[in-house]
Amino acid sequence: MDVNLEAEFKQLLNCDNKEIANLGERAKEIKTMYENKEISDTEFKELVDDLRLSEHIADAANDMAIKSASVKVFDVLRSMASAI
Amino acid sequence: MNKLYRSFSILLLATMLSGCMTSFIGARFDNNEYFLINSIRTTAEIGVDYCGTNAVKQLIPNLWVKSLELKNYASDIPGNGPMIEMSTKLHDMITGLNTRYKTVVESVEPSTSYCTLKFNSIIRDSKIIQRVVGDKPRWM
Repeated sequence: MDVNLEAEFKQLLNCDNKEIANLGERAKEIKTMYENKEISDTEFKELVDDLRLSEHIADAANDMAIKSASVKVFDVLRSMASAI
Repeated sequence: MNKLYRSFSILLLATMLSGCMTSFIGARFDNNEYFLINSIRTTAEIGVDYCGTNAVKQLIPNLWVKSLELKNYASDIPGNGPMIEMSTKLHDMITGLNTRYKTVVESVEPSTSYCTLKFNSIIRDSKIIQRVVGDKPRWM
């Protein structure tokens, strides 16, 4: 399990997607702190749950960026059409 | 070419009249959303330096109120799905922090490492939200 986890971490940290690489970095930091007993069991659990929340935030941010881009295109076309 | 533009204009008008435009309301830049997310990020950036001190205990409820404000503000704006999702998740994250400090017993203070990790997560996610909110198209 640990060997696979390390391989997964490596893959995450080398990921081209900045947000995913960032989540991988955070996950590794949380794991290290837990192993060094710097955080308690319940703190560890909460921080791991937060990673899932961050993943949702990143997904929604991508959705918003796409929506914004489509509105910008729509605006340009609308101004073109109104000039006719 | 003119025919193409005319067709597009008709399509555009039909879209506006059909009420589809309401789905774009939430897609526009909103000063209040930007103000609130900036305020959350700034409070968290200040808070992280106070982890391990008593001062952080005063900042956390304030941060929680701000995130609740953002969540409530975003909730009833039409076509604002992604912002509702982001503000809800961010508020959930901050609620965890607030609950832990609110229910703290003298002997079981949250660890400084937990506090730092938690604030850093809030800062990073606030920055992501602020970036996309700031990039929303302005009203024409």
